[in-house]
Amino acid sequence: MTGRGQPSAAATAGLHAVMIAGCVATLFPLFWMLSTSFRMPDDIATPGIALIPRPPTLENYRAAWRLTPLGLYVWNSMLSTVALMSSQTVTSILAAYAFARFRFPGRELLFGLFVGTMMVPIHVVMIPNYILVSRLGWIDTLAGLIVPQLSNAFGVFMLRQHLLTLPRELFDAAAIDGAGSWRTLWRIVVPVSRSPIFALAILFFLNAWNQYFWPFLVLTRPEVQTLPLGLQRFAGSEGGASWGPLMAVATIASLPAILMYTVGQRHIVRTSVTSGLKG
Amino acid sequence: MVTGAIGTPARPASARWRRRCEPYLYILPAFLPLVVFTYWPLARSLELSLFDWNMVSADRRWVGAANYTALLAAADFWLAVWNTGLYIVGLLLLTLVLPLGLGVLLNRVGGRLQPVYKAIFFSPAVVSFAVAAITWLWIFNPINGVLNQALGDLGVTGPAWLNQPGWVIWAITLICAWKLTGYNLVIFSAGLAGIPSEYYEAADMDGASAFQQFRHISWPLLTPTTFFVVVTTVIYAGQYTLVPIQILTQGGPNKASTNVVYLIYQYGFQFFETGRASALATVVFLMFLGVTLLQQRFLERYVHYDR
Repeated sequence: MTGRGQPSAAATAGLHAVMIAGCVATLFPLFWMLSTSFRMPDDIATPGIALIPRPPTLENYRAAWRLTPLGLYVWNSMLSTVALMSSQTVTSILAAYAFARFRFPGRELLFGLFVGTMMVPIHVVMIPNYILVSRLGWIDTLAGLIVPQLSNAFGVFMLRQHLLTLPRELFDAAAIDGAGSWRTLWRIVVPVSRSPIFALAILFFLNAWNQYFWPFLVLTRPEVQTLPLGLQRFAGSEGGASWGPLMAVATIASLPAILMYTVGQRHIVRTSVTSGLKG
Repeated sequence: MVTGAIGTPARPASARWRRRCEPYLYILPAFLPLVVFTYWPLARSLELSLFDWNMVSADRRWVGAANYTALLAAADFWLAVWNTGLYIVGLLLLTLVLPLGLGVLLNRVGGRLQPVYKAIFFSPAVVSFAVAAITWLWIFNPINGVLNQALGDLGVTGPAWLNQPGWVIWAITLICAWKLTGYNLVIFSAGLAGIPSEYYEAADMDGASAFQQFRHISWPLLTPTTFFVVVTTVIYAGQYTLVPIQILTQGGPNKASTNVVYLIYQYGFQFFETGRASALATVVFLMFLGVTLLQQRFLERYVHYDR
């Protein structure tokens, strides 16, 4: 191989071989989850590694539906995810806009306080938050899950970074037209910032959909639980024995996240790398 | 200077007042939840750490620093600190070298396949930790799990990954590494892409080998990126191990897989020692504060959204 110049055909082939091997290893656990979810119990118990179910069956999905309140889990997950995603996106847009567009006393201090919250892990504040949420009577309600996370400092941070790159004239032109800041925001700033907002919204979706620990603390009854909690409950109650139905629930819990990832893949990789991962 | 610069010079006082309040009104909806659910609890955690309390009873006794001294005298605490160190070392070993190597190779892959590989490597990051934990529980299954079957085919008897004290930390680290490798790879890949290609062209002309180029160009110029990856990985190992521990081992067998964050949960929600849990939370916060401060310094550099 001669540096970066022109790699030989053999070097290129070797490179792709390494990449493909890496990708296969990376995808294997997800493939195994999917494959198990379509297997008959006998097929699962048979020693030896068969990659493809023989014959594939939907029985595990039916069993999961029978054995768990799957519909409720899906509904609770969707409801809380949509609520969190919308709220975090909108509050981020509003605050980022204020920080990028206005000058006002205390701006730097306030922004510093936003950034500061990113340094506080949830585990450090979970006890006082749990006490607060239970005093508000929100244990076992979706409010207990959602309200403490209505906004997200990273969103404010990232969107502000983006808005600062917009040309000043964009704001001024709107002012000349007599548009107030509210109209300027929704008719000019948001439309030209579609793609970072989209990226952020997808990231919020994934964080909300995948989150486990805070919901685990505040949602104890199956009627209010989300999919990751349902999966954990199911695994506990089955003693980890019925792998087929368990992997069916795991697959259902992953599908929306994987779908979102596929839709916004280009955006997500970039945004979530800078935000730190959750869930 | 932006608002109010244009328009009629004489505005009624109420409009000026409104203008002055405007930025704060925009910020309020994002700010309020953070004050109530981050800053206030942070202060409250400090307060609670000075009391002996079980979270429910009306009786709360001031004990001063007793929770802290009890903590520092507890074997549990030191075991958790030691394990936290093991998780960090294990995760650094797994998710520093491999992503860097893959990143170097990935950046040599031209054309359309590069983003495809990158997307696949990154994909475990978008799966819930709960799903990852349960899926790996099945893979790790000592009887008919695929990992030990594959090892068996190679003539190796696999351990009972999650039930064996010497192995359990590594098993959980492996799950976290699976989720983190692609993420670190993407950061390294971005760092490498930022190195001007002229450096490599010049090195090519001098006849430098690929390894020499890595050693003398890529590695030194990647220093800030490597630093960011190390810091992120330390935070990750400290915090996100919690979910697989809670789901898979509850800190066991015989406390072998516990760590400081899981111990906060146990003190707080299983033993109902709110004071001691809060003291531990404060200690953990301080332990990771230095690392998080470092990460914040780098954030500005990495967070910008370009189309």
